[in-house]
Amino acid sequence: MNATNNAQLLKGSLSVIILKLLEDRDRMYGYEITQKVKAMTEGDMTITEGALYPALHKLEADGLLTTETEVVEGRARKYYSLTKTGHTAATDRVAELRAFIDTLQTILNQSSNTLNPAL
Amino acid sequence: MNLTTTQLAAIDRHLRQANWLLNDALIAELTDHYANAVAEKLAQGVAFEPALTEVQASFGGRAGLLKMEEDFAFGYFLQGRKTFHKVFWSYFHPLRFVAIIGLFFGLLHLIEIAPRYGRYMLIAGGLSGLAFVIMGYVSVILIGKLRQHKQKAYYRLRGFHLGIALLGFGGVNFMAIAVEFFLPIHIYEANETVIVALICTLVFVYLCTAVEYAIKMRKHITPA
Repeated sequence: MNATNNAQLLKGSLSVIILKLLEDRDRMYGYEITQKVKAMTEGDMTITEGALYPALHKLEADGLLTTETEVVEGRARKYYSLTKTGHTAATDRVAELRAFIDTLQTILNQSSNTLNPAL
Repeated sequence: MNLTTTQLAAIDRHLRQANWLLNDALIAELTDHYANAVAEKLAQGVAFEPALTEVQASFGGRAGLLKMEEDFAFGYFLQGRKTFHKVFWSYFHPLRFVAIIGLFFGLLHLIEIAPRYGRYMLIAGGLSGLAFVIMGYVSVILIGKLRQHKQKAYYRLRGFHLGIALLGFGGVNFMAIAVEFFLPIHIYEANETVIVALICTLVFVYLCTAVEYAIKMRKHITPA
């Protein structure tokens, strides 16, 4: 996938990805999130650090994430986890994204049928 | 691969000096990210300096990092304002409000039996607050240094020290100096006990809000 297009598509769904990952795991730190996405998509999707941290900070400011800091290997590590509101928001936003993808899928399928009537 | 203390210090210098970052909490978070990313690149055979540059590029270079800090600080400001308002108005919710009403009538009674007690109480409170802040400040430094020593941690408490110092300065200024503006002598001479008690109650609510706010926002000020 083209990196620029990938970034554009990712932009709107980054917060949903973060919420979903944190819903499945108890807590995660920034670097761990980038590596997890990379591993899950086998490198097809990369979250840039310049987009990840502002998204994390915004979700925290909105009260969907809470943080705790621990000293690991001699440096402070900030772990993010979902708040009670965050759990509800994660479920809702994942459902919304699924519905959106289904709608998009329908449009894409219908468009390809219209373009290729013989098929 | 664990980074050495020298390499961690180089990351800290890179963030503060080469990229002009100032926010301790953000620097602490980015230091951890840089350390993980650089360690991974070192394991792949990349040298330290090029690894540092590659990680910097993934943040959008210096411009990207500075933009991130600006957004972080603005978000912190908005969150702080929201938290402060929320805490302040919580004193007017039923359970706390009953206590505030009790305090108001208690102060009113004290001021009626000792006309200038309100002024003296605020000034004495300010000075006690200063003593409390100095003791707290020294304790935090000692505990922080002890923790750093025990965990061999590379992090700073500077932001938190500054927060306490500013809170102390603000508190003392507000209580011991600004009392001249908030409770001018002519109000006492006019024997306006209700106004004096009301001002003292509001000052008390404000200071309680400031302390509760500082506790709530502490995690954003101090990196660890």
